[in-house]
Amino acid sequence: MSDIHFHTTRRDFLTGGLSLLSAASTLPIFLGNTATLLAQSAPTTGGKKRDDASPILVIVQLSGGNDGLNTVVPYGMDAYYQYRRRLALQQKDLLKIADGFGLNPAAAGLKELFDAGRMSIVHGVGYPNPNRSHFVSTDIWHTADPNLRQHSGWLGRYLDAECCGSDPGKRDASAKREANDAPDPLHGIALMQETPLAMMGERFMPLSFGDPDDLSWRNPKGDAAARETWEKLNNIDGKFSGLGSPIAQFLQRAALQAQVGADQIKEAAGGAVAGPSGRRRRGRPNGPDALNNQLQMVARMIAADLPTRVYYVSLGGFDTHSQQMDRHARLLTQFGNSMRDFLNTLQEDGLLDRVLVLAFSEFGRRVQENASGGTDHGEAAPLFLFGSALRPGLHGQHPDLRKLNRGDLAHTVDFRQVYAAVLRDWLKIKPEEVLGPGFGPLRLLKKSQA
Amino acid sequence: MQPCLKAPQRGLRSAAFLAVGLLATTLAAPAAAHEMSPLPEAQWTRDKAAHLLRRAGFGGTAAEIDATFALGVEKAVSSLVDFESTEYTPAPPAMSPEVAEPIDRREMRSKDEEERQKARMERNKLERQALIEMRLWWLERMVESPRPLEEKMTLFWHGHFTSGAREVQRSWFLWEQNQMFRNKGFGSFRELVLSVSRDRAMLVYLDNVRNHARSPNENYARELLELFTLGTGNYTEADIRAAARAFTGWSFNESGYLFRERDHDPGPKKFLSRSGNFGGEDVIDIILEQPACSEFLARALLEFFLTPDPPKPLVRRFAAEIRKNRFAIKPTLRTLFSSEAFYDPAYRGALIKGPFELIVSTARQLGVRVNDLIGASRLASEMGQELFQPPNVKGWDGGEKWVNTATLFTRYNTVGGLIFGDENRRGRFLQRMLNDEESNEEGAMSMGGVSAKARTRVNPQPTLNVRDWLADPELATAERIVGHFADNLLAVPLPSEKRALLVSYLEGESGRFTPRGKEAEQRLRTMLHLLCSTPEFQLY
Repeated sequence: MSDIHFHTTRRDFLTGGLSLLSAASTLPIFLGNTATLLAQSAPTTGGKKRDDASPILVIVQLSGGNDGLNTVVPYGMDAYYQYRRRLALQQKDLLKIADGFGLNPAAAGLKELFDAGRMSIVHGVGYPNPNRSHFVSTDIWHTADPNLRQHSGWLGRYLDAECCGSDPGKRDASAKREANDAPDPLHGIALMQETPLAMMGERFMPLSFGDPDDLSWRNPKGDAAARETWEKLNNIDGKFSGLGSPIAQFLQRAALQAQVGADQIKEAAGGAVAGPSGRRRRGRPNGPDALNNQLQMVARMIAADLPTRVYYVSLGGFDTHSQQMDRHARLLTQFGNSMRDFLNTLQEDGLLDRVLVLAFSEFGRRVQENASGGTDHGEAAPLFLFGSALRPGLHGQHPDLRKLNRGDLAHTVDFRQVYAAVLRDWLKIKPEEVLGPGFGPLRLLKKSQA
Repeated sequence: MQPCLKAPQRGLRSAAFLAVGLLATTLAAPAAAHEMSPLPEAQWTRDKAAHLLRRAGFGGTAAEIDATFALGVEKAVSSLVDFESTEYTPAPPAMSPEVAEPIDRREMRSKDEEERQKARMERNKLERQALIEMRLWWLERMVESPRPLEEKMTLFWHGHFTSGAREVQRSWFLWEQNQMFRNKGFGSFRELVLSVSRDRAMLVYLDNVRNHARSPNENYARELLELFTLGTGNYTEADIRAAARAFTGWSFNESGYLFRERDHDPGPKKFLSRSGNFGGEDVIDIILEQPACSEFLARALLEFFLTPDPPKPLVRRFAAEIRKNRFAIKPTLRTLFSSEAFYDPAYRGALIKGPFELIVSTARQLGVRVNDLIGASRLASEMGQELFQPPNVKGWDGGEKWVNTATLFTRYNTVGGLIFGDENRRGRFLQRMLNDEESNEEGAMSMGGVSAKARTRVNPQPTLNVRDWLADPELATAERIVGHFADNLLAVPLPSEKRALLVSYLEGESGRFTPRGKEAEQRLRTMLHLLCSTPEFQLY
């Protein structure tokens, strides 16, 4: 510990505080991580990059069930026009990406990325015996287990293995008390209030917050004296770190770490956007900038070199049972533009090569439109990947519209084959460790193993 | 408020901690820490009464601590353990009666695909609403019940014999399980394990419905041995296979548990060095004969009620008491709560409050209602605890796992919501609910969780009324106010430096606190929020 030099612009207390901590006989791992983190990252802008440019995965969840058929339109299939009398998009309006396929005209951002070779589309992704409940199907994608026998998420299991080695024998009662190998929650950040199941491991718990401002102590009157008192009570000077029982000491240090960590995340994420009243402006969770705001925040956190391996963001509103046309178009515009801007920002920061994005929805929608100008819950749908490491273009086989399964598209690719590719070729972990055996990775990345 | 003789002892203890760090825990623990003999009445103090209320319940107001202290130790323990004499019959959760009905597969088959899908979604919606109602119902009980140990113990069993809604998919089964924990949770452990083995939620959750004579499924047998009764190292893989065979045929139908004899493997089995044509009940009896079983239960109870890392001698002595009580839970709890070990100062504040313990105990200690049950229930879930959905079969890890950068702020702000109520309206609770309503209209999904549409329990959160305290002549100075709340709200002493910080906040720039007027009320509330936004307040 002693050889670590702290790069910090925060008040002097920190050095004092942390050196007091390092005197403790056993140092919980998260503090070690904090110290490492402080040492490794310059919390201001730019700064040096970590030596090992470890790969970063960003998940974009399109919640509600995206209508794949009207996103990547198979204009070459006549059946599409028969089933979609009102909702079908005409070939002349589409943004053509391949023979027989065009993107929804609202998705100009996606078209730019596709043309630039930074986007892949995997056709017909789903799983056997599809479930059409949002909740169940979301859980299935999150756990990567259609039988829901898994209690943890696929990314959580990856982060379990990544942080502490995957030791299946670690389930006994003694292991759960070993605070020393508790994985650092900073390795996974979800920009949402409730932790997505996908990121919950057997041991790993990510940091989830809807807004970096959630990582603040709130007092309704904005009372500055109260705030200062709070900081001191929470060990900002590090002087309480050695006080009381081990568990009390743990909490004193956690309180200090929370303040440092929150400041760092807030600084990395670009700080709070204060309105004229000094009050935080909170965008509507499904407003027109929702996804863009989240992704730009992720871009800033990546640029600030947090040790985070997986980021999770989401966009809701895809459950278009009625009046789909305009709503879906607005969502796709937002999705496309946000992705384009995100990748541009990463490129400007010289970070594009470190990032892979996977965008999925819990299911597609029924082939036959309904009577309300919308579509009901369906099955297979295209999945999207973004980044510079991809083999760009279209992958897999589009489901046959003449051979529907209960009125739905039958899947041609199991989503776990996509996960397997991401795990093996991007995150560099054996897919079986996370998914169990039997899911051959698709060749989605340039450096895919043959 | 604190007896004077405590002070030097405490000073000594913290000095020891500073000097030798972690070693101090073991060194400082006096011999009494392992004694299960009853605490002499002469040693009963107000501090100990407060400790009992926190651990065997969810803490109490200053007046409740006084009343418990006045009872003496034996009666105080009895007032918590013998709760049946206190009448409490709240209305059951407002669940649609349909969720009690089985899903009729034949009828489903007769429908066309469209109708079937619609029926399925309709049913899912009812299940989710029922689950929300159950969560709110239980949270409300925890806050209001005059029988707190009943709620606490039910929470313990829920975390011990886990089942989760995501896997079980039938809210009614989880409701039955919760009732079962209430009905059997204080009786014989054998009967409880038997009931759990026949519980429909458990039969689904750990796959015993798929445990067939021809193709045994070991899931339930494995967790029964590993997580429910013995712990690793006390059985072999062969024992798991034998136990799984013994439980084949344990299944259910629309009215409840059902033993399907034709699906049961009646053949000879060798289980934990015994041989016979064992069935599931025999397996449970053999498990209970193992010394490891009483030790496992002792450890689980001690970890929940006393300390995250109970010393071995204490576990052994408590296990002996469990055997002496023939695995009857209620007398076992009485022994524990009456014991000298239970009141050892080393265990004071040794636990970290779980999210529900935090919300419920804050409300009970301050004497504030939790009106916004939906908001509170969501915040608990953000802090890592969702009722009827433990993270996995191990239940909640608890302890230090509860606390990280995100959850610590949520803890502090949740307590702030209870103190400021609607004054904090724009800040938090209502804003979030409005957001939910908006996104719900869009049909958008909240992640992983369930957005409540059944809004029967959305009531404004009241602002904590502090006038009685301000009018109390005993609390005329800032020092006295801070002292009163530090002593009554915290499980551990607040360092004098932190006391001074709170006093100086309360006094403000004028250097003198005047307990009158709106500003004084606001200051007192903020001081309380500060006191509850400390590492010390997380301890229990």
